[in-house]
Amino acid sequence: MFQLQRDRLQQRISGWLEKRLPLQASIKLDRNRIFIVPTWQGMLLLVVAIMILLLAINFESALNYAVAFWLMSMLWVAVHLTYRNLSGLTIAAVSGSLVEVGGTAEVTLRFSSQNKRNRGVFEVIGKPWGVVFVPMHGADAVVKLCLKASERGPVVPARFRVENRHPFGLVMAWSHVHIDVAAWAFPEAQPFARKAFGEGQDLAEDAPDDHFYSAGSEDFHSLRSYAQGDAIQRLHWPSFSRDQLVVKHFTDYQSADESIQWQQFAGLGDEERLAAIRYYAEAFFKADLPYSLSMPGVELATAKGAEQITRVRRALAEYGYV
Amino acid sequence: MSDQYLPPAKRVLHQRAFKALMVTQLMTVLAFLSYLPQWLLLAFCLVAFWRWRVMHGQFTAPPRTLVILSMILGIVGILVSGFTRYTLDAAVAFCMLGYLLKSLEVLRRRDGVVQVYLGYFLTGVYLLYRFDPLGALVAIVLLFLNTLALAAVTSDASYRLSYGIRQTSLLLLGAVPVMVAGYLFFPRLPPLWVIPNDQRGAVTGMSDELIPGSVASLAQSSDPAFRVAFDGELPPRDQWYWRGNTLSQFDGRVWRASYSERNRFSWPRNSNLPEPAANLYEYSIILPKTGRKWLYFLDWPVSANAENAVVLPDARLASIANINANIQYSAVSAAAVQWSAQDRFIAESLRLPAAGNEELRRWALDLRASVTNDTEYVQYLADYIRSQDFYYTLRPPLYDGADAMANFWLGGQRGFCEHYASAVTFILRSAGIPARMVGGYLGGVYNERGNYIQVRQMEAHVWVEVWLNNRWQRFDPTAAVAPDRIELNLDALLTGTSSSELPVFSRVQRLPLLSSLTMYWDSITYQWQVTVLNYNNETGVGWFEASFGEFSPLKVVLFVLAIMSLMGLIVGVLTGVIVLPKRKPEPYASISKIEKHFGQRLQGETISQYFVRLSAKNSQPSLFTAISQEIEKQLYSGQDIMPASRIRMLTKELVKEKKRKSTV
Repeated sequence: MFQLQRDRLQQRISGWLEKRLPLQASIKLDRNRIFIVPTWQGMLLLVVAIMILLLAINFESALNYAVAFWLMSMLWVAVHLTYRNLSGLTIAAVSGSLVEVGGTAEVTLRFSSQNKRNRGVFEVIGKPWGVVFVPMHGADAVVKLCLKASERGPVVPARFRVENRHPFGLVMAWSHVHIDVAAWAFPEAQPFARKAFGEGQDLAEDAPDDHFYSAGSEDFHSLRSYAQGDAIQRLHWPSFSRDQLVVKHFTDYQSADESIQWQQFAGLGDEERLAAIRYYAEAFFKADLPYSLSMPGVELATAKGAEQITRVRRALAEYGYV
Repeated sequence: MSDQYLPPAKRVLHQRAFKALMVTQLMTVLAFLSYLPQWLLLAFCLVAFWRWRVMHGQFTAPPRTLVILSMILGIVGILVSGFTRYTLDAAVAFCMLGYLLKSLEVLRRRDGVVQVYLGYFLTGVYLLYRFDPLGALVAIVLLFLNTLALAAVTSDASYRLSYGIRQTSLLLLGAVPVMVAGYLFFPRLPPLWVIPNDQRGAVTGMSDELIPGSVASLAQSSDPAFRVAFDGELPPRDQWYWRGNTLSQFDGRVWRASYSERNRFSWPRNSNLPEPAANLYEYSIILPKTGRKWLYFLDWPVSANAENAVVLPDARLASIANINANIQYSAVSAAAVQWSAQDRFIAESLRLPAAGNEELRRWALDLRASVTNDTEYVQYLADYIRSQDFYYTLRPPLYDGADAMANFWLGGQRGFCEHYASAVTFILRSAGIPARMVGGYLGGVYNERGNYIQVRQMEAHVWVEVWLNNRWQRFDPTAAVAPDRIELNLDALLTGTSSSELPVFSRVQRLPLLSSLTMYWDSITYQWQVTVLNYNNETGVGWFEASFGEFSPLKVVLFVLAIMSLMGLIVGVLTGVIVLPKRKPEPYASISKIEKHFGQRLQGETISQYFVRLSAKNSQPSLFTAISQEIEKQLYSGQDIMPASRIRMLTKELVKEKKRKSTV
């Protein structure tokens, strides 16, 4: 019964918050978006002030009236001072990291403002990361929030709390912001069999007529004319006798151009296909082999190295979402 | 960078916060040191030692045994130091001990905050002891330090002192308007419950009893006894006799007050002040805390207006309770009065103990035989003092024992007011003339700046009242031995001849510069007393009515609202919540002004294109070209050194031209 009521209340509050502070890539905090209350410490100051007021009344001590009201109005001024720490603050999404499912994703936000006032230390509080302290002594500050990537796809921070008690900790000003920023999680690799399709060729033992070669040192490939800087050992002496400066050109042989294709994993579900693609891409990356990727909505040209694997990972993470 | 959330109260303090707390604590202890046992500094040293340990890595709370042991030692120490009764001093001593020992275990923010708040409270307590301008200044310093410590405690390790000082000043200054409003508008309530306020601090002023020597010790102090402000003219200087209490009971050694202040229930009820028989003086007196019940009046009061005071038949008022705070009362006095219903007191003023001072009695009776009436008798006494080798000194030899007055009058002849007054009273009584002593003050310093008379403790005096011709008449034997004492204050009287009898400070005070400085300071203290400390609801209403006419609730509400909103605005602007619109810098201000009058610039049109277009359309192309050139110079010179006044002038001219044409 109570649980139900509490849920309903919670729902109404979050609905109200959603209206007031909708999901945005960049939020400027203003009067409508800042909440402010005295902390327990501020309330205790009020109690001390009232005790001093009692001192003033009971001992007919005129100056203590002044002290009591001084303390009380200090609380009032502290409300202004703390409010202006949040007022005019812009919270903007910057970027999100790319991680494997199960890892820790990181989103980057930027706190900025037009004036360089010292705004003290912000506390960015959210369940996944606990608390992040953001000292903001100048015009801007960069905030990195850690999130647990539990599923493939975008990893987004839920509505989180930006809090400030600076200075004196007498009042707490905060806002619940919802920033449109995402880190991306790509699937874990799973070694499903990759089957040939189309001409029925086994791609692993591809025909050697489609050689992909690159500059190397193993086998002689051809002759080309001398360019400044070529090693003298590679000079083609028979041509030299014909007054031609020609050097021998060697190559490394590589296996055929790898292509990872969506259709190679027939019979698997989408997620499994993605996991399999990841597996082969990582294997090629480890072996430093070039490969291409073809999957619905994504065509990656043949390439190799860190950039290619990042492209593949992002494509895998974003599949179905972008 | 990220962390499990720890509430701020549980976070650990940083080094600078520890230092700020320690300095604040030291200052608080020092401020209280003269009112509390000095060994509390030892407790502070213990705390400082522990802080030092904590700051150098030993981040632990002290062992429980150390805390308990120091607590027991502290409590025993306070009891041994004489704070055994439940009084304010004792309460403050315990509070201070707690304040010190509590800080042994300060490690986290919560503890630091509690310590700062205790500091705030102790600042309030400090103001119970001191309420002069200097005391208020000390309290402000304590408030500032505590707030600075609060800023340090509630921030992280990036805290910088200069920044903290700025924030603290902002907070305290921003809070001043509301503080003043609260001070002015909050009603002054009567005490809510009875407080242990007895015998707080030293007891000053005239005592109930007079034993030779006690007035001499009073005379050493240049502290103010009270201040008197007259409405209208001052009485002549030789009439500045401030009546305290009367001493008419004599047991052979000690003169005692007619009414003991210990038992106010023995005071007669429904007494009246004497009727005026001469010109009147109206005045008000501000009497600082004395710890006694006696109020002081110019001789002789005929009406008085003091709270909780009872009229006594010997022409004065006494407070029902001990005077433990500064009080202000007003009175009217007359140089001569008509007395009524004095029989009882006349009889009392003839009583003498059966034995003692036999020689003096004989001397008095011999004299009685040689004069015809009482007036002549008194006159003869004055002449006798003048003709004999009597000498006024603050350091007389000791006259002790049962024949003290005889030894003085017939032997030593060295003494000050109380020797003369007591001997004369004794002689008069022996001769059958009713006489009593009056204790109070004589003289004072007139402060022109503040238009009041400051009476200092060193002006304490005792004189004689004789019942002659159906009224009490003042007879001051000191006037006979040292006539200047009536006209001059004690320090002025003794300077030059026997200045060594005065305390060092009052000797130094005679220097002209210092004396004018002390007068100046005293007038500040007086104004402080009158305007700040004695401010109450009636004063407030008085101020209000003086500027806004008759007092009405609606007016008050409007007034308070107006003040509050004004202060809100000021604080808003100060803290940057309200942003005042800024003036556009030149040349943009002029451009928009021209755009307002001649039409907007087109999309993508440059300044020069715009002005070319305008000059084609309007007359006076030269003016447009001139402005255009000026603006471009201003924009592209890359410096702010160009004076903008020429642009402004040209624009004004242009707009005027346009207006003139449109009217034509």
